[in-house]
Parts: sequence; structure tokens; C-alpha cells
Amino acid sequence: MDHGNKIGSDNFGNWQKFLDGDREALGNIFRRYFSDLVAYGMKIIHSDDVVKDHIQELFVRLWERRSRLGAVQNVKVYLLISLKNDLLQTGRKTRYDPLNRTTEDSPFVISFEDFLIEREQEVALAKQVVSCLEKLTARQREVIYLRFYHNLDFLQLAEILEMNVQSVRNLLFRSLEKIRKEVDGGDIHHPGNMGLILFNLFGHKKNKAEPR
Amino acid sequence: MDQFNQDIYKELLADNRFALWASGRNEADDLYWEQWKKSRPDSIHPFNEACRTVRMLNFKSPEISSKEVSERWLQSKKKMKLRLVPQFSSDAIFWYRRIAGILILPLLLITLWFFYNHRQLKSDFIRISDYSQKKTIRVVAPLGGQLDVELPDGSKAWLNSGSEINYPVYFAQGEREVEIKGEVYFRVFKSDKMFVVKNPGPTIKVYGTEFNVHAYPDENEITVALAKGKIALEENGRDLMMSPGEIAIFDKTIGDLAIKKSDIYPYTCWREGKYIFRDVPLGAILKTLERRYHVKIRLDDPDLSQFKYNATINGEPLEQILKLMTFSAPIKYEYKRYQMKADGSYSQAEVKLWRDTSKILNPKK
Repeated sequence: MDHGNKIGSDNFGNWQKFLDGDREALGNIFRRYFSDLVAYGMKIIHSDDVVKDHIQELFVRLWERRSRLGAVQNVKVYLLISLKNDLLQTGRKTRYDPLNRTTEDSPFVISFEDFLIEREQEVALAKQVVSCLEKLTARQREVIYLRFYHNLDFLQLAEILEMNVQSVRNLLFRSLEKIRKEVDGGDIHHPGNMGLILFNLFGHKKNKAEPR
Repeated sequence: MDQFNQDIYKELLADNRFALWASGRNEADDLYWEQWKKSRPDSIHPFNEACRTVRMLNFKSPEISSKEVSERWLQSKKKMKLRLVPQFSSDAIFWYRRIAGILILPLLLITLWFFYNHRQLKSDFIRISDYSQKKTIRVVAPLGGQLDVELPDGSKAWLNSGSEINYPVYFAQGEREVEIKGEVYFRVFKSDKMFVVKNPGPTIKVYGTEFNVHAYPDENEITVALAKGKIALEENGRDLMMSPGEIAIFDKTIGDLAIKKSDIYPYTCWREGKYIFRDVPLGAILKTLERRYHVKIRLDDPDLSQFKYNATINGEPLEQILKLMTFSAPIKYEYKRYQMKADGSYSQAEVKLWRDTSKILNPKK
């Protein structure tokens, strides 16, 4: 169950070198995780410039405070948590917009643009999934995104969401149930669906994002 | 999908190897999953459902050119050079925050302690005891619950039901020592200072590592399972070393310590809510269930406790587990739920197990 961490190094060595004063090691970490952090951050604050600036600030702070940092178990999880805390604080400060009052503290928004669409057939499906996701809570969207985009395991999810593992499992599987039921509730054995799925799985190559 | 299929479905979705393949990011595994399906023909339905789920949630990466990433890194580096934060003031702020943090915790805990003193619901409670010079914090995970604790050096301890840990508010020069009872999984932050775990069995010494200690005072066997790093166990004045992938079993009754290679997942999966029993006598399994579900289990026929089971428990309701047990052993059970008493507190749930004489015995010694 650990394969997600093994595909692509987890940068433990780079983190150690960074702590020892190697700034380029931090640069390697920056380059490796910048895109992942942007993807996550933009679910919380929907401006890519703001999110990217915050990520840069985060790394500057990490460099300045490296003497007070210790080894981390997983660099990516550490960065995600730091960025999340950062963005939530910022979000609270700027949330005095009378026109746009949200009751949720940290809306986690997944939109149509977040889906990888390669063929016509996938457009309709994605739209359905998006509208399902809108009916879920921010937490449910977040756990789904962290599990299926960032491929975090349950212990890591528990850390980021500040819940215990069993609650995370329940959260994830209940949200998936809701989506499964609403989206194209067709029976898997329907030949049309089967064909579509098999085609999607084996019928295409390249143009996929690199393993994260 | 019936219950059985749900388990396979969930197992697949929890598996990153599956998730990466099903989303198309790892074609190298095509053959592996083909063979998986061939060897488990009755799991095709949940397999396909899992594939469908993953495909529905196929997110894309933001489009950021490597040029942009490099430019932003250069910008960051410039900011690092420009901002010369005076060492003193940033350190002062750091220490101020740290001391304030240490003060807030005891005050908050005392308040909580008064608040929760009357309640017997499933809540975690923390007691602070004052030993002559250094304040020691004692954290207890209640029966039926689990919790995790962050230690003063950033190390982390996960406590299983009915376990406790005692640790100082801060680690003094040159040493880090904690004391535990029960089952605790440690992730020890790497440092020059040795980290010492005192427990009902042999004292454990580490520098930076991940391991599980199973040392309940009411059990004869104490085990330590090492996931990462290096551990030394103190026995009769000398240190026995352990390597990752090994477990140490200490028998309290005869004082025997044995170290051997083993799959350590069954010893650490409790953090995920799983319990794996391989050839374990019923008596030991019942003890685990008592703690995990906070029930009292009575076995009327003590001979039954010798029956050995292979079982995996994954957070199912207790009654379901008991029912499954009756399928493979000649036992019957009676389950009495916890009830609210007249004074508002709750009595403990109780389970009685006794021999089912109508079934043919199937000794699995």
C-alpha cells in the first residue's frame, strides 16, 4: 500500500541536505512539488497568482527558519499542511467581502477545469461528477482530491485533515458512494459502459501527466 | 454490492498501486492487474467498480511551464538574500511562542479536566502530575479509543486503547525518556540524543526510527516491531540490536527475549483500525476486542481460549465479529449493550461466550 510514495522519490535526502544548508536542495524540492502545491492551493484560494506567491513565501520562510526545523516524515505532506494553514489564515483576513459571504470557513472547490478530459465522451461524465461534488461538503471534496490526485494514504490524510484514520475512511467511502449513485447510475454490466471503461483503460497512451 | 465485495472495492481504492494504474499513470502494471483479475474471478465486479470510481476522479495537473517554475525559484532565492532577519529578534519570538505554548497547554488541560471529570463518554482525558522537579505529563487512551500525542522534541506517539504514556514537559539536556504501558507506535525524530522508552518489558533505546511496542501489563507477552531505523533493547545490562523488519518477543513469565525476522504489518496496522491475527489463541483475541470495543468479555469455558484463529478485523461492529466467530468455532454468544444508568452514567457492554455443545468440535491446536 506504499507504492504511491515509492514512485518518484520522496525527497527525504534533499530535505536533509536543505537542513544542512544546501539551498539548491531546497530548490529541488521547490521544483518537484511546486505544481502539486499550486493544484492543492487553488482549491482553497482561487487565484493562481496569490497561491503561487504564497508558495514562494513559504519556501523563503523555510530557508530562514531551517535551523529550527527537523526531519520530516514526508516532505510533500509537510508542505501541503504548511500551505493549507497559510492560505486559510489569509483567507480569513480577506473574507470581509459583503457581496460574497460564505459560511464555510475553508471552501474547497473542484471545478470542471480540474478534470483531465481527453475525449468527447468524458465531457458529459465530468460535468456530472462536478455537479455531484458541489453537493458534498468541503471536507469531502478535499479528502477525495487528496486521495486521488495526491495519492496520500490514510495515515497522511488523517494528518492533513486532523481526523483519525477510521473517520477518514468513512468520510472518503461515503462521499464516493454518493458520487457513484448519482453519476450515470447504470449497471456496470451494461455493455455500453463496459466498453467505454475498457476503452479508456487500455485504448490510449501518452499525454498523461507523469506519476506524481 | 454485498458486504464482501465492498471490502475488495475499498481495499483497491486504498491501494496506491491500483489507483495509479487505474488512472492510466502506470501502464507497466497492466499485466499485473490482468493476472490479479484472472486469479480472483469473483472479484471482477468490485474491481470494475473501483476502476470506474478512479476514472471518474481523474484530475489534471495545473499547466505550469518548467520555465515559470525556475523563474519563481529564482525570485524566491532573491528574497532569501534580501531579507536579513536579525537573529536575535526572530529567536526571541520563537522562544516566546514556545514558552507561551507550554503554559497554555497545562491551563487548558486543567480546565478540560474539571469539565470532563463527571462524564464517562468516550473522550480523551489528560492528567498532569507534578513530580518533585520536572513536570510530567500523563496521557491515557481510553478503552475503545485511540489517540496520538506529539512529544516535546517533535516525535510522535500513537496510543492504542487502554494505553498510557508519561513524558516530561520538555526534554532536558542529553536525554529523551518516556514511559509507557500498553500499545504505542512511535515515530522518533532523529537526534543525537538517545530516546529511551521504559515499559513493562525491556527498555528500548533509539536515535531516530519508527516502531511499535505492545506491552500491556495484563499480558504475558511483550512485543516490539521495528519499521525503520535501529533499536537497542536492554536485557540484563547489555544491549541487543534490532534491524527493520524484525520483531522482539519478550515472555514475562520466563524472562526470555527472542528477536526474529517477521512481517511487521500485523503489529502496526492497528493505527489504521485493522487487527490481523495469525494463529492467535482466542483468549488473546478477546483481550484485544475488550480493549478496542470497551466491553467486558466472559468466556465460560476456559478451554475455549486455546482455539487458534486467523482473522482480520477492520473496524466492523462487534456483533458482526462475534457472529463470524461462531461459524468457525463451537461457541455461542450473548451481547448485552451498554445502558444508561439512573445517574446518567453508562454501564459497560458485556459479552458472554460459552461452548456450543451441539456443534462438532474442530480442534485447531
